[in-house]
Amino acid sequence: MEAADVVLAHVPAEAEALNHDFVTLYRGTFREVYAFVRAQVADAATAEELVSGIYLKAYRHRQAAPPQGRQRFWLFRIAGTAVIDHYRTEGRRRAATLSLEDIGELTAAGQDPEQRLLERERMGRLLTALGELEARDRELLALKFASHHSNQEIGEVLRVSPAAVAMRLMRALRHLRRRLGASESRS
Amino acid sequence: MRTRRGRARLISEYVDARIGRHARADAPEATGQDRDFDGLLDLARELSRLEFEPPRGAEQAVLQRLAREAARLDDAPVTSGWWPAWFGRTTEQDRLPFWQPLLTTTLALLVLASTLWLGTLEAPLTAGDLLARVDRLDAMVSPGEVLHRTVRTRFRTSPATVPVMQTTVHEWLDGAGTRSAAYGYDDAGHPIWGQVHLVEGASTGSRMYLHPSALHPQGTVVERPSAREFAEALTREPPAVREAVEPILRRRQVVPEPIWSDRWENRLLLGIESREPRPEKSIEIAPWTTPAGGRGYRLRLVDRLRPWIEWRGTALAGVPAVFERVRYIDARAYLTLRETAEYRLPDGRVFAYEREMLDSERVPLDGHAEAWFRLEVPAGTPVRRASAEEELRALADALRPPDKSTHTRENVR
Repeated sequence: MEAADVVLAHVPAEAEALNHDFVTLYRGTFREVYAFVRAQVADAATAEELVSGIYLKAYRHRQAAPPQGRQRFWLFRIAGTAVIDHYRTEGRRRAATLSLEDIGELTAAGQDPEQRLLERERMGRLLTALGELEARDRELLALKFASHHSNQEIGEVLRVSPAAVAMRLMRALRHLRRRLGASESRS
Repeated sequence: MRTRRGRARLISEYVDARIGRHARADAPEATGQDRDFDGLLDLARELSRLEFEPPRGAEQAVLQRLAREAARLDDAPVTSGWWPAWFGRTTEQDRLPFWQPLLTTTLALLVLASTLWLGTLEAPLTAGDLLARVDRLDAMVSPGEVLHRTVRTRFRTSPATVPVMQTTVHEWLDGAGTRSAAYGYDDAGHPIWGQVHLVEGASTGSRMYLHPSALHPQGTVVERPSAREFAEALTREPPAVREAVEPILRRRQVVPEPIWSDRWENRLLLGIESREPRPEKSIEIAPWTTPAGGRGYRLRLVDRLRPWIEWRGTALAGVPAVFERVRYIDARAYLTLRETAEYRLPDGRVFAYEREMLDSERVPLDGHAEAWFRLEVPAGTPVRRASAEEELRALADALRPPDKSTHTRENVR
């Protein structure tokens, strides 16, 4: 028995309600989808809640899923919509309420406590600025930096060419830098 | 000056190289020629330092939540018409008369109110209460069924003599507590160990098989003496050893009971307070709310004189250790949801582990479940077995104060 089969064979009985293909898709994409969402919301609990909703929506509409190999792009489109919906209902208020603890979870620990604190503050500003961006910039940066997609893959998700992704990426970085500059001058 | 398109391509390549995807040897680090471009590269560098790891256990927790929701969706009958075509399945509830949701809401509010009211009437919890309720495992798992639990464990040593070991453990227990089996797997799903315990009469205690690894190239079988062997060995020991060790044996702290059974562990924890208070032990019980908002208990045990038994070459040695355990118990089933424990040895070594229950379910005892109770070990695997006498002496050594050579109940305390 392959290691992957062993893991699947020991999925809790409740999960048997899900079909094998769906569990495989889930296992293969969970970390990336989580990272994509987590980069855009204020805390881990909200991210978990949203991710759960994303997969449930995908499960509901699994009959409409594209063939294997393209399903992950379809899933990220659902994820993108879910985050936009979240912003609509929650507003940017939540994205701007990052505590130092929240940021600590997201940054690698440095050796020097003072440096770590500075790093956290900087990351906090970065994430807050990210949360203030327009949805399409935010989504693109999350696809690139949180879930580590290539331009080709992002193009599949957003239905644009890789060259257009590259252009949009540069533009999104520029917008982010402008936001950061504005927040730094405010502070 | 580069063109806009050229800059965009370079930035993408740079980012891909930073995040380890499609790494290119010639990815630009900093050009020093174009301030605007360099600034964007710096920003990309910062963004690529962010890591978004899901919390431990989140993947499994979301899957379980999802499975429950999916089961509900699948159970719901499908209605015809344009609604399911656009929005997937729908339920009978969509066709309920208007007063039905109102009635349901009112009933739910009544149930909630009475639950809150009953909660306020509850008498203070005693260790005896908990102990009695733990026995309900018998009722929970009937003959012909076994309890299957999935547990996540993490084991570490300090100083780090072995790497931190994270395992997913599958446990199988019968309701009567006559047998249990546990199997640990690494994150890739490879088996690390398996253990089967059968009560006396059916077999001779417990066997653990450590799969081949860097530490055990050929694998190892570890066999433990049975309760009867311990009891017989004890009669042959001098009175001082008997007196020192007997209380521990009586609490079944070393006899190979189903060690993965919460029932046994909770009995032990609670029994210490209710039956054998000792000055070196302290136990606290406090109300606790489970992550799902349910009722639970937090148990904290500190034992300042707990024997740590280890193999030194081919012999067993006992070391007195300070032991601390915090256990979070779900009040509905009295199963542990989370636990942390630590042995602190006098030479500075620390052995710590964490356990977190991911899932618990009753399953029929069919051929599939039955197979877990048969530990399969390749022929020729080396076996380690300590006699009951050896284990008792190691225990007595651990309990002996360093400045005294005799064992009495007084100096053990």
